[in-house]
Amino acid sequence: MSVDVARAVAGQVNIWAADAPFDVIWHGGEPLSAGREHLAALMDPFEGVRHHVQTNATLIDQAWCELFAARDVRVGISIDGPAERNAARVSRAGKPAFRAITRGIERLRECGLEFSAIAVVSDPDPRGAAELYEFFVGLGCIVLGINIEEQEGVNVRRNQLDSERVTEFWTALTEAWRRNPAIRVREIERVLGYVAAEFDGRADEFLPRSMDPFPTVTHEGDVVLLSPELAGFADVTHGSFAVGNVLRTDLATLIAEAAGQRWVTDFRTGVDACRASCPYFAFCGGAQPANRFFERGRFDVTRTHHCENSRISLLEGVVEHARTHGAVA
Amino acid sequence: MLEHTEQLPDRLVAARTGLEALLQTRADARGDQERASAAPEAGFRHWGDTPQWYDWHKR
Repeated sequence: MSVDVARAVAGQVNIWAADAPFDVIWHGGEPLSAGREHLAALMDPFEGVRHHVQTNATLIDQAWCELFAARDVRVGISIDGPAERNAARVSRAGKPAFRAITRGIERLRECGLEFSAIAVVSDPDPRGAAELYEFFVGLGCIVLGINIEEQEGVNVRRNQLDSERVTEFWTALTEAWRRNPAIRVREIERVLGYVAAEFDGRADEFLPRSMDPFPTVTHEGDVVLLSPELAGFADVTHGSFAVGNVLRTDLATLIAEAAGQRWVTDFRTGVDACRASCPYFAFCGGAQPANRFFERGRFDVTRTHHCENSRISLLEGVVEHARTHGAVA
Repeated sequence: MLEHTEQLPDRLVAARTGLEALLQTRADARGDQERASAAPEAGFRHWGDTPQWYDWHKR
């Protein structure tokens, strides 16, 4: 990404950040591969925002830690669990990246820097859930996010899984967390947030009041809304999913104009269909655009495998733990 | 898994004792963590004022 692109984004973001907390996430590819000086130059135009990086940690050394500390950068690590679960994470030479990842994490810990972790789980085996959870407790992360593998972008592997098995995975993960709630699990937090809202009579407030456009800016300045995974993709019906480029049009204008794009209109139709047909809508808010597109080829469809694996089975798994354990951990 | 005619709140109420226990576990753990940490919430999305693209609350 050029500094010109970062300046163009910051020109609008700084206005928003003056009114409300605003997060800028450096994500996709490996953001640290830009190098410290260049990433710092990209951050420089932003004022009053909180920066995050999502990284595989392999490049993290003392100098990176100093940059993170100086700029109060929040660090998220992409790691899938113990070494045997990280076969998909390799270096450019194709060698296992696990040792390099854990070395980077060790640098963070030595410098007293907190970090979160996101794990992709390809095989949600209930028998491995507790071991997976305890690995991340031992790793020292503060928050763990679990992404059941999705079929999207260049990953065309189907993610149709046995829903009963996935539910049992979430149940087992909930049991492990309850025994030792040393870290937060993003997905369990989401379920309990909804449960609390429901019990407190605030369920209508659980979903955000308005849709988050969640703009993603590519290294060239193209802007894709709602699902970062759509960046760089197009189809014959909708053309490119990019709504424009920040070097030519300011971000606020792009977001406002994008509401009328056909794929966004189709997606809104799909959300309406979810609302009308799915009993889990109050918790979920509707299937994500990228999952609709990459699984079903359309935006106006409803339930996806991602819905089943990471929303429905998740909620059912946590509730199953609650149902079978009652007040006893 | 719920059928279309079933209600999610009813499912939660049926497991209320256990869910309340989980909420208490979370509250206890959060108290400790929040005093010790201002850690980010992985993947949680934050946003200020945004265009009203879609009203999730419409009925």
